Amino acid sequence: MKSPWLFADELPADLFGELRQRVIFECCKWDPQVEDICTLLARPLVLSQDAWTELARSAEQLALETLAAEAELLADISLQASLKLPGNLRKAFDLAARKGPSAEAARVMRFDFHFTTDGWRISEVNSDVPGGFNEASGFSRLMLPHFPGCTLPGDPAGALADGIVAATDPGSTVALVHATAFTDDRQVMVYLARELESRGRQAVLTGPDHLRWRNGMAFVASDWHTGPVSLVFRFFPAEWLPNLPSVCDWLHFFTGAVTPLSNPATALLSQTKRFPLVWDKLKSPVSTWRRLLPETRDPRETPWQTDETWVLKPACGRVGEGIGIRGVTSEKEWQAIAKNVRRRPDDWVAQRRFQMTPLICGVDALFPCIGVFTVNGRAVGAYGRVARTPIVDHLAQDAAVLVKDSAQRMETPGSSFLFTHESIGAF
Amino acid sequence: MNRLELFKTWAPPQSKWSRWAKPALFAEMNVLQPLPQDAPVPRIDVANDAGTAVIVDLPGAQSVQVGLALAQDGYRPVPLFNSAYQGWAVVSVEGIAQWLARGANMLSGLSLPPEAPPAFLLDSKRKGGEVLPMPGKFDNRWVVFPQDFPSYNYLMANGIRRVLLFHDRSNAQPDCDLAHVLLRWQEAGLELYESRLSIDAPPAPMRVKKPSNFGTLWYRVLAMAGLRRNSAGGFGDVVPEPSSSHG
Repeated sequence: MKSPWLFADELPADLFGELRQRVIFECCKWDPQVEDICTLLARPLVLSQDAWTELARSAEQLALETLAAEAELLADISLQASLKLPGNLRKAFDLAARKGPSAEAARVMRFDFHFTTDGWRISEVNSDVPGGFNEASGFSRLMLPHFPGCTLPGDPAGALADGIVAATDPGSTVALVHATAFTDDRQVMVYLARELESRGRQAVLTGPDHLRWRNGMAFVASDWHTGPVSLVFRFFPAEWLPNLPSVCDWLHFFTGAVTPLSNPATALLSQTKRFPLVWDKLKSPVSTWRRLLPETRDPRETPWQTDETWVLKPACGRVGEGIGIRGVTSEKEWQAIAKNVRRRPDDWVAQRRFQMTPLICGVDALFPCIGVFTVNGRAVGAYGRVARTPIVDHLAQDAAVLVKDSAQRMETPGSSFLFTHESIGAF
Repeated sequence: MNRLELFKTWAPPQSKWSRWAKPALFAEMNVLQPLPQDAPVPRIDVANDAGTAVIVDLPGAQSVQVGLALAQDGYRPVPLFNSAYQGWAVVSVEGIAQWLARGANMLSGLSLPPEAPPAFLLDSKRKGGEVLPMPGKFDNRWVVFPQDFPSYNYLMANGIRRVLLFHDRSNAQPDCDLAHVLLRWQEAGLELYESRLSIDAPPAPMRVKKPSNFGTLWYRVLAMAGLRRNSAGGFGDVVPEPSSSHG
């Protein structure tokens, strides 16, 4: 199978060191190091134009199917049973089914693609609170000038800001709701705030416990800002909302909000890894999902304990945490995961393992993941992550994603940045 | 001196420990004028030992001041203040920011070699304590994770055999989050010592006791999830809602 990407050389260490500091300060990348690993990869992932076109089209189709499926699931609570959503959210979904969902705007999702021996596959959708904007927009933009002949696949942060701007009045205030103590999350909000403010909106960075509601209208009540907001952008996982104090009226993230939400908490219906378990009951077509997502089942329906072709995933897992792949996951970790699955199978899924096609660069085998963002159903850019194992987790590095301009040859003074397709082989 | 220049002063690219410096505070702080290069800063009497890494776990600005003092003894201070900078905050970082700026000239004037052993700087008030976490306050409490530090292997490969903890706690055991870091190193074979700044005594050997959840594969996830669950947006305990604010 023809490889979809060209892998470029690393930038020289001194040049990349300078660029790393610019990414930190210009792109709010405040977590550039995890233990001994620099979280930024010194070389970009370069996709062919054809590959990017294919990914963008697939992502747009997936977004369309996801929205339709969410609507159907929301309207019929009986369909939600297989999802085994947290019990403290049942009331919220029940109310949303009876009263209708909250207003929403600028719906953003990220579909994570992997190139496998069978072509492109997806591992999940981040339909609730996708991240990676700083890297996808900022880091890629700073890498681009060093790789002539390439273009950017898009600007997700800019597109998201455009979507928010389209739904709000000039000069109005947008609440960026996040876990304020987590600098990993705050960096995303500060970056998005800059994008919004450059487009004539005020951004107020706030915790979820500072949001209040009056007749469906949101406002912020904090020591540093008090007043109404025209849109609420939530960067706080939906499953944590029930832990807010009652005065926060968090049910508005599901139903009753007149102020538009990006994203509504009902996104949890597709965010859960158990989403595929209800496909057979849906009228909405999920053909693209079925084509791209490996077979996914309730762990109790599979011989995962003896069959190594099944991967175990936590239903509410994010950034690859807690994924069990026999032979890849350490034995100690696998045993812990297996114990957890046996105890609480409702919180897990079993998914058919796919064989990622690694990039071989010298002695390194790299496993890339391309997260394609959609905003209001349109593909708007890509976030690259590269792991040293087939699990793309928190130890993976962020990579700039570039697209080779088909009209030009990619050149850089002094050296060739191109690997040929032959350097991409089976692991 | 702008924010980037200030960060470069504290995390110069040539130092082998700069990669671990946390940029969050630098990225948002108001930069103040540095003190003159020859302005007095505190001194402490620590023997420079290329095989010892120091962790300074002291309140706010005092951590930076001790870091500057250690710099004069040949250590490379590495700021690990992973906190947001905003007014009305639960954890005051103003003093830290002021001293990061004030100490910049002095630090750059020392011309520390790239291999200078590290002194990792933490704020012992990172989980709050100075300001009552009332509703409306900006929750910027934070904790450290093992991933915030170099691994045992990296430390060993760079000649570090011992870790000395400077603290002001009444007992020798480190705070729970730091215990997770130190115990991993202890189990791997590093020697640990502790020194209470208020006591004029040589560093004493330290055995870190096992904190809760130690060795849990998903410690970071559990810690973050638990902390999120407790505070709905920040670390630590629930921010209390007074009854008068209900309704």
